[in-house]
Amino acid sequence: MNNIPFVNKNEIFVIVFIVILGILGLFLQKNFSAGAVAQIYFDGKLEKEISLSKDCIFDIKDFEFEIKDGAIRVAKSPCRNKICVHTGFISNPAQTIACLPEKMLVKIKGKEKGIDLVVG
Amino acid sequence: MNIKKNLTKLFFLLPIALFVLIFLRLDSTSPKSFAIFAMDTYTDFKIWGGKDSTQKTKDLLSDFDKRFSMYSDGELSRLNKSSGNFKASDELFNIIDLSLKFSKQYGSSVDISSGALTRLWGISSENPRVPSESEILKALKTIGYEQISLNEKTKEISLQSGTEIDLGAVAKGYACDKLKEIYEDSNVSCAIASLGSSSLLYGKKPDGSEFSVEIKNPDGGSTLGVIKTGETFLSTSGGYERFFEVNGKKYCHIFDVSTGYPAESGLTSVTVLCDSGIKSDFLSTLIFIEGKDGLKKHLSAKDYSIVAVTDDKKIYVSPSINFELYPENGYTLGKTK
Repeated sequence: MNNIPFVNKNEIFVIVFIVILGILGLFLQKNFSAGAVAQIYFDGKLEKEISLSKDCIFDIKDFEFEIKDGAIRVAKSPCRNKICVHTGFISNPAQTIACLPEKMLVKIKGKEKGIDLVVG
Repeated sequence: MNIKKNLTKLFFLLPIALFVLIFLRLDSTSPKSFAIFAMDTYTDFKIWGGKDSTQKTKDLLSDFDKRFSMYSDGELSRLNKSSGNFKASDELFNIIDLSLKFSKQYGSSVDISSGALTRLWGISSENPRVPSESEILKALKTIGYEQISLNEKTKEISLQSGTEIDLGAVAKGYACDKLKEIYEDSNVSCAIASLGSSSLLYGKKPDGSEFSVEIKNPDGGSTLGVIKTGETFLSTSGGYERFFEVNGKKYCHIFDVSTGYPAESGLTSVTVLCDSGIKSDFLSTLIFIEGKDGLKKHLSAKDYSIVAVTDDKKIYVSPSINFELYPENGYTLGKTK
């Protein structure tokens, strides 16, 4: 009789341990996902995914992109109105850079700051 | 025996607790998200709940995209080319009627009859240019609400010859109003609808918190601060993204119809919050054009609230807005005398 509760106690530890791990996992997944990543789309198709943690300059099609201090901008664009260039650096998942004439879009993924919308 | 009993209880409770946890998490973090290019801008949506709300949103945008553009072959273009009485749809009639009323009530610096001026400068077109003084004077003669006559009963509109309507200052805000109607009808619990310069924050977020809206820094990159707000419409006007440059001088896309030239008023960005999309859109343009000197009366207005950013790095905020400044950009809160 003495033996059975002892075994169950172990089981309880295991269960509690697993549950705590699971709950931790849920929160970790939400708050500590890997550093922010920029996604670059052309005409709705994902062309490139790149981490914002390393500074660099790169070309896609006739665009030039620059990553600096965890933010990304369009440095050069073949479009007529240059709205995408004027947008400047973005680093927040609620921000985007859009170029309508060339149907190009930059989105930021990860590192949620709890911001729903960026205006201006 | 007691422990065994507890253990049995635990075995029953655990799956229930986990289920509730997972369900809450799924419910709070899984809105429908999508983005489309429409109405000359990039639009972005997050919608919680609601039947067919995604499809209805897309349908409305593609309809308005064509209907209210000056440059397509949609309804507005046909009206602009028409002579005599033009039978308009309820939506087109309504948006023109409301805009004219706003011009009379709040100020005529924003005038939807300014299409000829927009076309002359061609800021959003392939070849923007600075027109001659005489061309501008000619275009100015076609502007004014007396150039448009409306017949409420027959929904007929007639324009004086040469007058063109440009809905750029109101169409996106109006689309937000229509989106709100859709979300009410289809039982959406929460929606964040961004149509570039105009947005709708609808309902209540699943976690019950207020919406957080950041204002972009007109100098680029960072943001200036955050607004906490409940359900609202909001629109922003700024001259720092959409402009063209000749000999080092920047010409923005927002025109002062009293001069015929792009607005230069000492403001770099104006955001208006109120309970109507079209009104917020109209007012953000109006306040941007009226400039620093007109801010005082807008800051104390009862039916809308504003955040205005000046070119000398001051931010003016209506007392009713919950605004938190990020001081690291060198901007400070301004006070009106």
